[in-house]
Amino acid sequence: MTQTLPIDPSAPLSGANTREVRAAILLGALTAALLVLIILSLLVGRRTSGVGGLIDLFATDPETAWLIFSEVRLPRTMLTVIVGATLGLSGAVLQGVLRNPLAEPALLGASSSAALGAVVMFYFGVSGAFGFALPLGGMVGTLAATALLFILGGRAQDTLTLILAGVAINSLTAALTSLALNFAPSPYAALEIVFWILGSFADRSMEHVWLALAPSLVGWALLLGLGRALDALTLGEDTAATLGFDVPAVKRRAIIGAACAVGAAVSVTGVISFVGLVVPHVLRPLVGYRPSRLLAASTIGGAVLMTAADIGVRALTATVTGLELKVGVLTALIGAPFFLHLLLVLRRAGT
Amino acid sequence: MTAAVALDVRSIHVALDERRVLEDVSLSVGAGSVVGLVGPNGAGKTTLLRAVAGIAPLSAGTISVNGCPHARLSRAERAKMIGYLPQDRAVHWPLTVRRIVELGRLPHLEPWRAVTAMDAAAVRQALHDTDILALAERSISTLSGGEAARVAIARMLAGEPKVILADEPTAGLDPAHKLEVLALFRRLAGAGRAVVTALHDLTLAARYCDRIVMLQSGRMVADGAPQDVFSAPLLSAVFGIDAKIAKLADELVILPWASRRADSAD
Repeated sequence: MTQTLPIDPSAPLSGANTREVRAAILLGALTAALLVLIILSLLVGRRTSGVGGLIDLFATDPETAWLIFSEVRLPRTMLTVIVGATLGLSGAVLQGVLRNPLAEPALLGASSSAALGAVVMFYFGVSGAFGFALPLGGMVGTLAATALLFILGGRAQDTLTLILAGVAINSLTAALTSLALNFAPSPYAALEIVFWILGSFADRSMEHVWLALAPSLVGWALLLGLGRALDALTLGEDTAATLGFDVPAVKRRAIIGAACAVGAAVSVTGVISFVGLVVPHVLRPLVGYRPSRLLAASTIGGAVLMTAADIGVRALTATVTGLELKVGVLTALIGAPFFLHLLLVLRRAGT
Repeated sequence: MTAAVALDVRSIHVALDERRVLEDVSLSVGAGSVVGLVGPNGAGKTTLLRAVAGIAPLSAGTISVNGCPHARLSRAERAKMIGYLPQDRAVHWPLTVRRIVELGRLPHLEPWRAVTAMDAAAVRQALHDTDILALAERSISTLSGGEAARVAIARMLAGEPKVILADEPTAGLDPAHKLEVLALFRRLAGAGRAVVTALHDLTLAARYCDRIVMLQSGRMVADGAPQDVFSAPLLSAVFGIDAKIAKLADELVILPWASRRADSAD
């Protein structure tokens, strides 16, 4: 017989408890930070001065104040939260599925194909005739790219094949986007396309929010349920399969979930890079590297970073740049050095 | 212990990329026995274990576990019954040892529920059995190869599987831990589990296994008690070695002495 240990329930459970407490503290801190940033984001902007400006305006001109709040600040803030959460969550899931800390939502082509779909709408002038052609075109673009990814991935959805297929899709969409720019009907149209691709939350309405919300919720629901499968994948695909997970189905679900949410996000805001790479990476050590624990933390963390970045963009635009600084440009400026830092750290760690 | 048949493999065929890797392999393992799977590299040991674990698809034949055909079991049921220790023990994120071993409980967890006291007890038992209780809170990235190998075994044991499939469980272990792991498998078999393990060390296989199944080029060439299977002519034919076979302290000792591949020149 196997020697049975005297049951000492306190020993492992107390460890488990401190872990639960630490995880709860992290989520609580992130949520608190997000709430503060949401309030700041609602208060700060071009049309009012300082943090108290909007509140003062409510006292003197409540109608205008309400208009600014409900038509400008509220949709903008909601979008930063939705898009940030999407990028953080999809990044965490894709890094887990591909078991690669350098993965991000754009890797498999969801972002660039959404951008291409929107650019096509610009190019043929549909966006001028019909306001929501742009986001809808973006979603169609993502759907097409996802279908292509599945066909290229084959039945096994082999990880390396998926990444290479993503690279192929990214270069194809980049080429087609360049083609559209090349033959843009006017320099103004080309500029409009480029500006849109840069990624921004400026001048979005509640309709944009509703449009992005439904596919985002579908995507989140698909992604948030993958926690345990991602934990199992830590041990490799064979072991995950013997632990009861259908690994190809897990991959398909991750790709469809990320495509829904990221496609919706890019379709209304343009391309915002690096958030999906940076956020899971920074938070991973704080959740003890557990992929399942990373999902909720990375979702809230993504929203925190995105909202902070958008507040930063508005502050910089007001004080330094004058011309509107696109939030996608800011995240890329911060993200690229971070990516290099990450490569150096990984090289030193010898992985 | 003359227990029920835990694992019944009936004339299975497995093909990978149209290359036949296993041909007509049958194997029946009773609860309580330890079966050693031996054969040269590429003989199909790993493929046989993967097929039983449900990872490598069969092109023909059937596998049943505890009398239940493989195909009729759900993924979750199969995961509870069969524990699989792959050769590849990579852990892709630097989790702590306890959390890795906890992953072995995944088939038993209720959806959306945390680990219960029962899960924690199974994890603790597995950590103890593999002699890594002291390492429980260490990160896997700080362990030696042998320690990490024991973590993988503990992860597999934590699921309390009825059938244990281990692909070279002793690879990378020091002599003491090699002996301990195989003795543990014996004890687990004594407690009613069935163990199938691929081994390269023929002496250890002879000593700890009730039965030896020998594979060569995807076919089963022998299935019997160690003293019957490990004969000089068979080892020469299958492994291409001249082996010295002796008895030491009443146990079979098989010492590979010279490779015959050089003079057979194929």
